[in-house]
Amino acid sequence: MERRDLEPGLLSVNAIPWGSVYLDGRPVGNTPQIDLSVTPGAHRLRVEREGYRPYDRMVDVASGQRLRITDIALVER
Amino acid sequence: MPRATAVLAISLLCCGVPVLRGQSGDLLKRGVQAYQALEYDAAAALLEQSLGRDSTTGVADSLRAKALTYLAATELFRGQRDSAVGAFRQLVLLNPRYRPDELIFPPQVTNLFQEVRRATRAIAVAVPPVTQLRTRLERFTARVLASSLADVAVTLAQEDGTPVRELYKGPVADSVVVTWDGLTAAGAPADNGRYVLRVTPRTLTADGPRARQVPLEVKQEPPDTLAWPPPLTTPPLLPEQTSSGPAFRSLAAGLVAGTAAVALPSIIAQGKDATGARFAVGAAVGVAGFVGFFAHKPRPLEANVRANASQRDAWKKKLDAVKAENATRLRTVRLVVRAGPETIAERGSE
Amino acid sequence: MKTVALIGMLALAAPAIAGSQGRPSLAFRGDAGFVWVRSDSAAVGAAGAARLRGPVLGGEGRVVFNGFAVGVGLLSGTLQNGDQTVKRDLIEGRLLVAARPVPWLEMSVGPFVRAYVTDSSSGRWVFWQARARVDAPIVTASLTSYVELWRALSSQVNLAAGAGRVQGGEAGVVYQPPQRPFRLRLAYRVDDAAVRGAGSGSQTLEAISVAIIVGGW
Repeated sequence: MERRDLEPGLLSVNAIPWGSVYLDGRPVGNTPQIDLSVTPGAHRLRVEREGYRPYDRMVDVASGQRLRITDIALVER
Repeated sequence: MPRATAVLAISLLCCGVPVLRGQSGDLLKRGVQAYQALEYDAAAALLEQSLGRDSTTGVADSLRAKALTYLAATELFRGQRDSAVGAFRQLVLLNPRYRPDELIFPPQVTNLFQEVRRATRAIAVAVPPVTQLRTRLERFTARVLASSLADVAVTLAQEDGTPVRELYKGPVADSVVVTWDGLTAAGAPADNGRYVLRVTPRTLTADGPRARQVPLEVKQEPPDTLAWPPPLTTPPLLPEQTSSGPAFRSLAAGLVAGTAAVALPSIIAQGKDATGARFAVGAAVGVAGFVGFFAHKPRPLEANVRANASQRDAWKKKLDAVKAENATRLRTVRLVVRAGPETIAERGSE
Repeated sequence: MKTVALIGMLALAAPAIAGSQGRPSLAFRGDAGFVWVRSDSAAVGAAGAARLRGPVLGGEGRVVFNGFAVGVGLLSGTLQNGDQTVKRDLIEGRLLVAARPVPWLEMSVGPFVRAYVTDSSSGRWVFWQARARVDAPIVTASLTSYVELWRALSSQVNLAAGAGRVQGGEAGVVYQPPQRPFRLRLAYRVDDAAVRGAGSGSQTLEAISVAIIVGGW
C-alpha cells in the first residue's frame, strides 16, 4: 500500500442552526467543525439539534481530500 | 466653470454616500456567506471592509451590530481570541442590549460574548422619536440600558447646558424606565426650545461607560378643548303646555260670527232700521267666543314637564362635565417632544 | 221646470243613498222664534202695513247620508202691526239638497216659498235659493258658531211689480250640552227681497230663533 493512501482526509462541517456533530456515531463537538482528520473512505456524518430533524449522510473522503460540507440547513420537526 | 465643478462634486458626494453604503451592505452579505462557508480569512477581510473606518462609508448602525458579531465569531474560529474580544467589546459599547442569535452562533461564541459583556461597562438610552403629552398628566419616557450594573444620573438640560430637571439618580442593572412629566424643576411647563437628555455615570473611570445624550426639541401646543353639547331644542324637548292656537281660534270664531250677526242687516238689507235682535245674538255668539278662549287656555302638560326636566338635568350634567374637562385641559399644557439620534456625550460635558 | 229640477236633484242624490256605506240617518230641528217684517213700499200690496211682527214656530227634517242631505222645512206664525189692526199669517216652506265637501262648509240648493196670508189674499214669494254655510267650532264640537249666506237664483212674486234681488243671511251659535243627544241653537236671520217696477221697494224679514236639534246634521 502506498504512503499516499494512508494520508487522512480533512472534513469541515457547518450548519444553520448549529448542531452537534457525530462522525460514525462518535460525537466530535458542535458546528462549525474545521478540518477534522478522517481516514479515507466512507463515513457516516450526522448533525443533530433538539427540535430539528437530524442531518444524516454517508460521506466519502478520499485520501488527502479536503471536503467541506457547509450548506447544511436543519429543518424543524 | 468653477461653479459647475463645485456642483458636480456636491452631486457626487450626495449620491456617492448611498452608493458606498450599498457597497458596504454587499460586503457584509458576502462576509456572512464566507463565514458560513468556513472561509474565515475571506470573511474577516470582507467584514472589516464592511465596517469601514469612516462612519459615512460603513454599514448603517442597524447592521453594524451584525457585522461585529460575525467578525467576532470569525476571529474566534481563526484562533484570534483577542480580536474576537475586541469586536465584541465594540458591539457592547454600540448597543448594550444586543444579543447574538443563539441559533446561528454556537456556545463558544455566545459564551465569549457574555464574558465580554459583563466585563464591558456601557450605557445607552432609547427614546421614542415623537411623544405628545399633557404636562402633569402624561409622561415622556426614556429607557436607560446598561451592559452591567451602573450608577447613573439622568438629567434634562437646555441646549446651552442650563439644568432643567434631574429625572433619575441611581443604579441600572439591565434597564430602567425614566419618565418626565413635561415640567421643569420649578414646576412650570417646559418652554419651546431645544433640550438635551443626558445619561451620565455617577462614577467616572477611564474604562467606564461613556455618558450618552439625546437631543430633544420641545414645542408647546394649544390644548384641545371639548365642544359644548348643543343646546336643547324642541324636539327633542316636548312641548310643556298646550298650544294657544285653539284658544285664539275659538275667540276668533265667536267674534267673527258675532260681528256677522250684527252686520248682516247692513250687508243684506242696506241696514234699513234693523231691530236690536241682532245685537242679542251677536253678543251671545261673542260671549261664546270668550268662553271658548278660556276653555282652550294653554295648560301645562305635567308629563312633558317632568320628561323635559330630566332631559335638562342630563344636559346640564353633560355641560358641567365638559366645562370641568375643558378647565383641566386649559390648565395643562400639551407638549410635543421630538428626539434626535443618541450620541456619546463629550467628556467635558459629563 | 222647477219640479223637473227638483226631481233631478233627488235623482242625483239617490245613488249616493243607495251606495252609502253606512245607513242614512235622520235629523230634526224644532224652531221657536220671533219675526219682524218691514215693507218699504205700499206697492207691496198684500203684505199690508209697513211693520209687522209676531212669534213663529217651525221645524226641519233631513235625511243625512255620506255627506249629503235631503231636507224639508216649514215655518208659520201670525204677524201683526203695532196697534194690531193688520194681521197676516206667515208661512214658509222649503226643500233642499245639501252637501258637505269639507267638514266646515255646507252648500245647499232648493226651492223656498214664503206666503203672507190674509182672509182675502196672499202674497206669495217663490225663489230658488243657493246657500253656503260655514261652521267654526269654538269649543271642539260642543260649541260651534256659524254664518250662512244665501241668494235667490230665480224669484217670483205674485205682485204686479215683480221680484228683484232676493238674498239673506244667518248667524248663530250651536251648543251641545255634555252627554246629551240634542243640541241647542240661537240664531239671527235677515232676508231682503226687492220688488221691481212701479212702487219698487223691498221687504225685509228679521228673525231671532232658538231651536233644538236632534240627530246628525
